Amino acid sequence: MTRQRAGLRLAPASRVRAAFAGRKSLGGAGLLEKNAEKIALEDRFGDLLDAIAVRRDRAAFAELFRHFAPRLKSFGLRGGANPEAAEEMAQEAMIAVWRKAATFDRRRASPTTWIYTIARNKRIDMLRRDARPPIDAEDFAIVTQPPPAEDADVTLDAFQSHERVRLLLNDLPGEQRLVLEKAFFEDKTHSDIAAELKLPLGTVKSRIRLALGRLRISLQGVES
Amino acid sequence: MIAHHPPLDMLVDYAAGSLSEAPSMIVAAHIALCADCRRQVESVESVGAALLHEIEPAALTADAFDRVLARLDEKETPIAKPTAPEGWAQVLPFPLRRYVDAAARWRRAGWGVDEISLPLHEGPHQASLLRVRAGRAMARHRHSGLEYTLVLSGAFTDRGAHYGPGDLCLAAGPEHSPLADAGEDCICLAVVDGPIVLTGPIGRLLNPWMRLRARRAAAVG
Repeated sequence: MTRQRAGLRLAPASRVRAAFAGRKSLGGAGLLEKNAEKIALEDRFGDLLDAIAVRRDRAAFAELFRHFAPRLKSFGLRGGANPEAAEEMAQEAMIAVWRKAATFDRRRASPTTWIYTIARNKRIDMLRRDARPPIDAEDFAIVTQPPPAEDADVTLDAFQSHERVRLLLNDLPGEQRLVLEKAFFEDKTHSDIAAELKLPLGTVKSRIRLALGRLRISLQGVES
Repeated sequence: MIAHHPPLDMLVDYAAGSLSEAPSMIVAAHIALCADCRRQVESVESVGAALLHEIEPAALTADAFDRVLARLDEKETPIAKPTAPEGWAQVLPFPLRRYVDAAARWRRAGWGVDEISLPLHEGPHQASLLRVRAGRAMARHRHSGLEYTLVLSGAFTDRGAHYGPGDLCLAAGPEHSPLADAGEDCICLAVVDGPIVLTGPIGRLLNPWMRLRARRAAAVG
């Protein structure tokens, strides 16, 4: 299984970066250059996950832990956990990163997105144990639609999409950033946010939709 | 071809992890069948990742890393995989399989409609699988809350729209009477967050809603 994935696994990150830099749609080379460090960091995380998957590399794990564990604890705290529970959640998430590293697939998600989904699921476990259908990559083995073409362009788009979101996040208007943070950090649904901010539900929906639009998340085909 | 998708706010709540269990089942089952919405959820997850990157890190306890290291070689308690489904259960997308016991049997809920109630751990919803016999209609009813019906196999028509495998029908309020296509039974995942009120000839209050009584479809011969 691991071998097969390694074969599918993308291509040297540097090649993606080179192709990526040639694309105009991100907002120009200036933005990219300014953020070259962040992009290199994401490549690095991908390499570390590969090292864990292939060699059970503890040094690679330590490096990921140093970056992510304190952020995951913070993520747990923002979700309403006490410090002990938040730290426990962060540790559980990092152990899952170690165990599941072989299922990480650069074509489908950036390293940070992959780790985010693991932490989100651990938080769901912590807050509402078992109260969610478990989702794993293998869950999609029975899709009825053909999987997306596995070519460099798709990979590039996944990569580009993640970086673009990160670069654009800081330009969001405050009220849009606020609703996103409540949604992603505070375990609040659209309705919860509307109630808390005393806003009509439609306003919360449109702020999130506008924010996703600004982050250039494609919303084609999605009903409002 | 899947034509009816979950609304964006539902996908966002799902990606953020705040959606409660039964609607999560709907989204999980839909995105198991719909590559477009799966990609949509993944791209919304990248927003969570971007926010995570910028969160203020919290200090860990001094021995946090050592404690994690000590646990890396622990044997993982394996999660029991559901056994491969047989017969009709093969239509169940993977996320739903753990909800359906191998011993689960359809229970007659009324003329032409069978039901398997699904166990939930949280939330105000009720969830079940419904099997509507080919060419039959569900009892005419309206909703005190919201009803989500995801087609798993077969198809039905409701208020002028046609729903096939993977399609999600959202209904709130106005009365309707979904009609299964002739030729194949229609199996759906149905989730409601309030009692259903029968308004057809049988007309009576249902509580809980599962006491369905389907009436024979007049339209199909």
